[in-house]
Amino acid sequence: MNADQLTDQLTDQLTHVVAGVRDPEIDIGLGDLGVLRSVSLTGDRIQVHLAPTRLGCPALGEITRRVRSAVADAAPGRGIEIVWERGAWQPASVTAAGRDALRDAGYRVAGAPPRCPYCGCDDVARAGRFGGAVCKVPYDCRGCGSPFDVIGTAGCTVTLHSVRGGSR
Amino acid sequence: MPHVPTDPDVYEVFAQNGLGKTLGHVGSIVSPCPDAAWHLAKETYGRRDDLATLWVVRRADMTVSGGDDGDLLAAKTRMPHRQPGFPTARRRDRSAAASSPAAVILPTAAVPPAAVAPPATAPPATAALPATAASPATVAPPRFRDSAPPERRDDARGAGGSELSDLWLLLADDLFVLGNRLGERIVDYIDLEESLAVGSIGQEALAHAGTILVLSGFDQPAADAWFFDRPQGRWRVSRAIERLTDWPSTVACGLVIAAAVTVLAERTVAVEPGEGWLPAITAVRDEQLVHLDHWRRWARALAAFPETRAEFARAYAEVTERAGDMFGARPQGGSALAVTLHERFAALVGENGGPGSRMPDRPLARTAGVGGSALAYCLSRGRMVRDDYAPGVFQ
Repeated sequence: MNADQLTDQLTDQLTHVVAGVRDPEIDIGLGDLGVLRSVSLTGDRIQVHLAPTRLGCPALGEITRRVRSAVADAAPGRGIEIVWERGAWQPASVTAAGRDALRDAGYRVAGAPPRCPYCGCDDVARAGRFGGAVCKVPYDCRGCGSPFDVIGTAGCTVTLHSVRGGSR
Repeated sequence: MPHVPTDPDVYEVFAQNGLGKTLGHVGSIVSPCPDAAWHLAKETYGRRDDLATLWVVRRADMTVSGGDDGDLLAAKTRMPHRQPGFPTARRRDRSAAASSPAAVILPTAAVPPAAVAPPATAPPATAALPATAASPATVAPPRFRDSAPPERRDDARGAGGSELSDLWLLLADDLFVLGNRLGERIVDYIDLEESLAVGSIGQEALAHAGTILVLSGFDQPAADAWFFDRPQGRWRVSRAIERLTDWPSTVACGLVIAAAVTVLAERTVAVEPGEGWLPAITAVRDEQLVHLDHWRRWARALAAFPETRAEFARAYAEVTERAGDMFGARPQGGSALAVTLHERFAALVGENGGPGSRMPDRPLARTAGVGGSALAYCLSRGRMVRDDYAPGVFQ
């Protein structure tokens, strides 16, 4: 195995490690959440590109700490640089597995007409314009009565589909 | 009063005709036992349609309202704290209580100007900064000079880029003060929705201020120094910032700042649509549009509510008049770019804030030394918090 192949192998390994780092708020990996953009290795320096779900995300520091720790464990002795690509995250960045994990946790992802993650009902109403975190907008299901959040709403007016009943 | 019915053989039936449908009450049946009731309900209400969900509940297991429970069941939307005038009325009541000799509750509103004197190092309020003073290298206090000068990205922004960059840095200052002031209001309401909104908007205003500095080439120490070490006399916030005091004025200030950032983001995206910082500027614009919509709703509510109409009209007129310097980056104020931005800004404020704006026809120059107690309090609080942390946390 030559040097390039070793680099590729380590890069893949590190990508897998960072993708598995859990988001501090929702139990989902950064890869499935679409926060991980890329991992590159140049010499002894590892560069990890991440994208916040929203510019004001308060978890950037904790995510940085977790990623740095995971990378340091997987590749000790190398320099680590975390680069935040502001504005790069989109709802489409969430993987299919990520959407399933979010649904199981009681979330839906913006970009499609929201459905209740619990009963699948599409008769939902936005319960407010701002949720418990800046990346979430609260909804209520009229079918089963469950509250749930839609995440990934940067520019709610742009990515949130209108729903029956509007907002209150 | 709510009571438990005594009809042992009556069952209430709830059905959902499909996953996309609402689960609702469809009727009642009489049955001698629960099993028979369920089958009878299925035959009665599910004979023609496929059912996704069927609930059969014995009426005697329910607690139901009575005919005289109207008051108990009345909607709570008329609760005082959900009315637009509540924050204003409560602040007024608190102020009255605080000034009363018998008062025992201290006001939680902003510290009065006398209690937050500007830093002793601040130059005279009349000291104006040159046009290039927005450059960190010329404004920075000693601690900032110790750090590596940030790489500015003016050269990458094409024609007019330098003035755009200066405008962005000025608006970052306005966003920083607004975000801090809103942060003080997070616990000022018993209306959870408004607390969430104010908290989110304040948090994002700070994030946008930080993002602007990152895009301008500041690293973290330089950004901290820019906001926390710069003497107050060297800040060139909009004069509208001085009105970040009472709630109607805060609504008006939030509206004009959101409108100004939106206008500048639109212009920036149009000038250099292919730049690498486009996603961040686009995100700032999209998020500010949400803020603008929030403030628009508040402005309309305060203007429509009899108790707040006059007060808001005064605040809106004064804030819009002061906001005429929002795009006055240069001392002469009236560059072609500034005029274009100002006109769009004035129109956007009028569209969202309604009539009564006193926005000047042309942009006015910003000056150093303004910001009043709102800026002074913001800076003193920030410095106090940072000083209270262990050494090394922030530096």
